[in-house]
Amino acid sequence: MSDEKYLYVKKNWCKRCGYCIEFCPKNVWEFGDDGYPYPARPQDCVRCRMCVNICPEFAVIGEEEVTIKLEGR
Amino acid sequence: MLFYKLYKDADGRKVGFVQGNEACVEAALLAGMRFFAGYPITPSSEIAAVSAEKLPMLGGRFIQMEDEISSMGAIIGGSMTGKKTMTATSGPGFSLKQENLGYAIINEVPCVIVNVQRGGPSTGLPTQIAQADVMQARWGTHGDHPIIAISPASVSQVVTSTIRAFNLAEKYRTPVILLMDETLGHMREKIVLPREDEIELIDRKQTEDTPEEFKPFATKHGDVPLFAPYGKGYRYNITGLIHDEAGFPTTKTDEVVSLLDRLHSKINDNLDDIVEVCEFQTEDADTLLVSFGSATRSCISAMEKGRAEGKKIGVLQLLTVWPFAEKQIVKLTEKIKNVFVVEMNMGQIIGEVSRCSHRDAVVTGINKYNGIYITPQEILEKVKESR
Amino acid sequence: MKSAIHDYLRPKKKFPHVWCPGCGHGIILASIVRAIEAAGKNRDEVVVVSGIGCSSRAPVYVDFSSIHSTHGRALTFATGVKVANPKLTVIVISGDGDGMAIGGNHFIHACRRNIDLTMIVFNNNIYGMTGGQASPTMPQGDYASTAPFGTLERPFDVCKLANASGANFVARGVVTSPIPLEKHIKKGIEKKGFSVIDVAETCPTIYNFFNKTGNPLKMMKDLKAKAIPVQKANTMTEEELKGKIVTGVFADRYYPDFTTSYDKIIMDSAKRSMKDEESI
Repeated sequence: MSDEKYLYVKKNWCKRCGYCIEFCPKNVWEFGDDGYPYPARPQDCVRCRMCVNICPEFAVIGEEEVTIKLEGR
Repeated sequence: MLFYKLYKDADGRKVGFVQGNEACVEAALLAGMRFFAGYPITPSSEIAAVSAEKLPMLGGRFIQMEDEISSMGAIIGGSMTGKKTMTATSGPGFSLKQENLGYAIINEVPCVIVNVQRGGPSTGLPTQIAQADVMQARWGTHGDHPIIAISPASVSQVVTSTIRAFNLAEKYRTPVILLMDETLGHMREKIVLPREDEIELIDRKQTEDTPEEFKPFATKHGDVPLFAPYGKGYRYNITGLIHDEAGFPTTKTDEVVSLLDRLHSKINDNLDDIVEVCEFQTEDADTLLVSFGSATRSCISAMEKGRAEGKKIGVLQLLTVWPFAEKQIVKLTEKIKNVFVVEMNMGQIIGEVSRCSHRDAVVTGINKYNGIYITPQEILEKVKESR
Repeated sequence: MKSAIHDYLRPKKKFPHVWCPGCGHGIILASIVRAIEAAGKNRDEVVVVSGIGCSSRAPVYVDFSSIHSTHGRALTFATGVKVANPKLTVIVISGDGDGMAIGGNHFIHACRRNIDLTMIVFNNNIYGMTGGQASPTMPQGDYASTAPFGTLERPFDVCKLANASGANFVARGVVTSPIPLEKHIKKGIEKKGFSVIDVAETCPTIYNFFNKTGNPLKMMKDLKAKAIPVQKANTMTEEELKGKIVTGVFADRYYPDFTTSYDKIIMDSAKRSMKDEESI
């Protein structure tokens, strides 16, 4: 699918457990240089929401408007 | 199945010859109780049985829970939906309820807990009288906390006291303990229930804030926060942890202190409203019998017998046991120096009476704890002996 | 691509939450919220009740009426709420220690009473908040601060207990599969009567400390490998099932629930009390 960015990690909530990376069926995620996960291959994403649902911190967010709403929290 | 019947008198009041336990339920229903959770225990079981029979007639609900702890939890949960709730028990069950009683105190949940006292400790004397849970009523649950406990002496007083217990619970948003005892619970006396138009009922004050601005423990209206029932759009949290005004846990020292101070001040600043005593012939008395609960009845008889012999005895009934009638004791002992504290235990409330009495007053305990009701003669003999 | 959890986070609450990195509690909480939304419940009419423990901190984070009650007693408070106002949807969040040990009696009686509550057991096999004591669901032989030589006791199977005690709906989910978990919870909420959803999860901090089970990720992978759907489990031998976690639906019944039955008593009593009044 598209490589447009729509998956966000809220870094101040993320505790870097790596579940999003491990449980993504399409291997979209990777740890970035800053130690936080980021969607390295968004074009492979099939939008199954596994990363969103399995994040114990509610830190993987699949919508920009939500990240804006949670800004400052 | 009910073992009593009520009849309507000419003035439209219900009249009956009923047990204290039965009277308690009739009064609770008048006071607006619509949810009861309980567990069988002698000598309070009739309260649950009558509630089970009568509540559904008024659209109320009864549940027999699996134990005493759950009964206490259930009436707290029920009260959070805005209903007036009650449970009833006796010594061992009262012990089990203590943790959740503390929960009701810290979350300011109105509810009434009836303790029909029996002999203790432990299983003790299940079918016999004692008044030995007075200190447990005050200090049973852990931590610093205020409490209101009312102790009636007759079946008629059970009616007024039960209504008052609900009113105080609602007004001050606190659990109220109705301290009855085995004799009172099982004794039959005539009662005349007030008509609905004759009783003043107090309902907890509801918030007028919007859900967004509402804080469950806000102090802007005074020491008693305004209530919002669950299910009406006010989505707030309550917790047994020390909490802030929004109901969230806190360990900030100033918030800890302000919560604990307010829980106490909402009771202690209103002692004139909460503390109720009955004085009998204290005006000219030189000897004072201080008592509470059904022991008061023998005190009054002893007073009458003693007065017939020329002894100037007066009686002070602590209708409200907690908070303690400090002011009243101080005032009476300025005048009366010969004080006897009559209680069916090994001496519990006497400590409080001594603490508050004038330094010249001699405070002596008259105690009976063998499971048999104390008689006027026994009291009178003790009074004479100590002269 | 939206997750309901973000719409239901309590406005004034600070995040991140208190749970350790890799703890499954957040996954379960998000699943509960999605299930409540999927079941079409009005958030004003939902009450979430919890006891004491790590798991019981969950309700404070989500925007429903909530009761953080006393240890083991969540079901009792929830029963009071439901009986006093049967219109409310009442969700109970409990841990394995909270719900099965100190609250074990309330649990079997809620099943027997078949009261319309939905209980979700955050089952990580250990007491986390108090520092790692053995819980009633800890596998026999595993280590804990109070079981330095391994637990001697056999664990409870939450689902078997609920099933035998008469709950209308009994299922087990696992945090490695949040979508089936959400569906079980949704079914539980929609079901009249008592519903129990046992959720197998990991405690990467404390359990790992005593049992050297590996980092959070390894524990999650191991958990996923242990989870066997009930249909497949039915074809396996007892030996093959050793150490496995059977997931799926174990009971789905339609016995009348407590509050609905009580409504009938209220109807009958109202008629009877009218007759009584006439006789006076």
